[in-house]
Amino acid sequence: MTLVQAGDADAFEVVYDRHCDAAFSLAYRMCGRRATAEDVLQETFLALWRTGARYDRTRGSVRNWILRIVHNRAVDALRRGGIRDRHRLHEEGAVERVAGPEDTETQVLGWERAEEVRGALGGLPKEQSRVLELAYFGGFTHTEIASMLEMPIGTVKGRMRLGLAKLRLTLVAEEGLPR
Amino acid sequence: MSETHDFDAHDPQSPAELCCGEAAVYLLGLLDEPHSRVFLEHARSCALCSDDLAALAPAVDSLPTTVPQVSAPAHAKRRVMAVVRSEAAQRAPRSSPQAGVARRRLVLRRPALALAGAGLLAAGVAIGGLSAPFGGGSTPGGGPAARVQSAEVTLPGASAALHQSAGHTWLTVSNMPEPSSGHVYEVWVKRPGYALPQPTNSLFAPTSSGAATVVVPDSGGADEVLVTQEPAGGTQVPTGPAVIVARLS
Repeated sequence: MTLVQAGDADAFEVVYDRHCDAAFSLAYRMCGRRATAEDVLQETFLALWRTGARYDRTRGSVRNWILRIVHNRAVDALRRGGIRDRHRLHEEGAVERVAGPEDTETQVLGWERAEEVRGALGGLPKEQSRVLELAYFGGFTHTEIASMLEMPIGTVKGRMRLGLAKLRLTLVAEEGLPR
Repeated sequence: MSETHDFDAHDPQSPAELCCGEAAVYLLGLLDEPHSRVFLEHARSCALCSDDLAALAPAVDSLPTTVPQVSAPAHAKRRVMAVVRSEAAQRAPRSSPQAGVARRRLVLRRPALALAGAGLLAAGVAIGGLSAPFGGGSTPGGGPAARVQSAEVTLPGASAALHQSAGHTWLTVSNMPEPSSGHVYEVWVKRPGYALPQPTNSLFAPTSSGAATVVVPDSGGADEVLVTQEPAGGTQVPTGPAVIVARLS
């Protein structure tokens, strides 16, 4: 990243190659459309190229930093599409994503870890995994979720916190993350 | 993100339980910039929130790993690297052996977002690259009303318009197909008395929706702006027919 921050295009290409699939996968999972995901991918990496100096290694890995940018851009893209589209995408898009031809391109990276996290997420009480799913992958705000699920905002926030805390505890147990 | 929320970090009566969930909301990316700043400021002096931030962040960071992995398309890399290499060449010293064609700047398609990173934001029109082609951070969108002329486009379904304002010229295109693999679109200006158009440093590829906004530099004295498809990096003379022709008034 130091070389990228210095404007080294070759170093940037290495970073791109290392993280583009994870970035595209997240964007595609959230946006549900290849073209939108490609735009998000492109915006993310060009932002990284132009603002790489903002990366602070003390605040996490390059991959997590990149995926946070992807997430923010994908949320922006989802919100540009409007809440109705997002709801439809969230409810219907999963079928397309799972059954789409892109499955043939699937590359399994970090499969064991992904399975662990998926298992931990699936092991959460449904009301907690639901709000996390809507918030993180659906791009819905806590206010929107409260309205959709007809519950107080405080309840939504509490379930988010509880869900993440349980997820964290499961990962600590399975991976030995520091408590 | 424009969401407002019901958290008031400055409320002196906020009991600890009111903080419950705020770190999760922040980490899940649900707060807009101003509210994020307020929350982070609050978390500095709130043990509950700062503990939550540290504890919950790894859980949020793990969520992307649950996503089925899909390969990024190869053409996405070509687009990104074309921009990056062009801008890297632009940054290089003028004495660099890469000067010349390699220094050409590729103008971006997702303009507003591209400029956001450079601290410049124009309403609907933006120019890629690290320098501000309009000087002082001003943009076509911020100046007086531009004169707009439609351009002739040979590509089916595509359209283009030439904008002129305050001595600056730029081209907007819609529904442009992607250039062929290993190619970009190159902008040229043609001056009276010259048999061939002259190259500019503007190369571009449209977004997936076919849109692009491209600065036409050095258009003084020119009577036509042309766009051709050329090998990546651009050429000094056109190698193919013009796909866009716009007449300068």
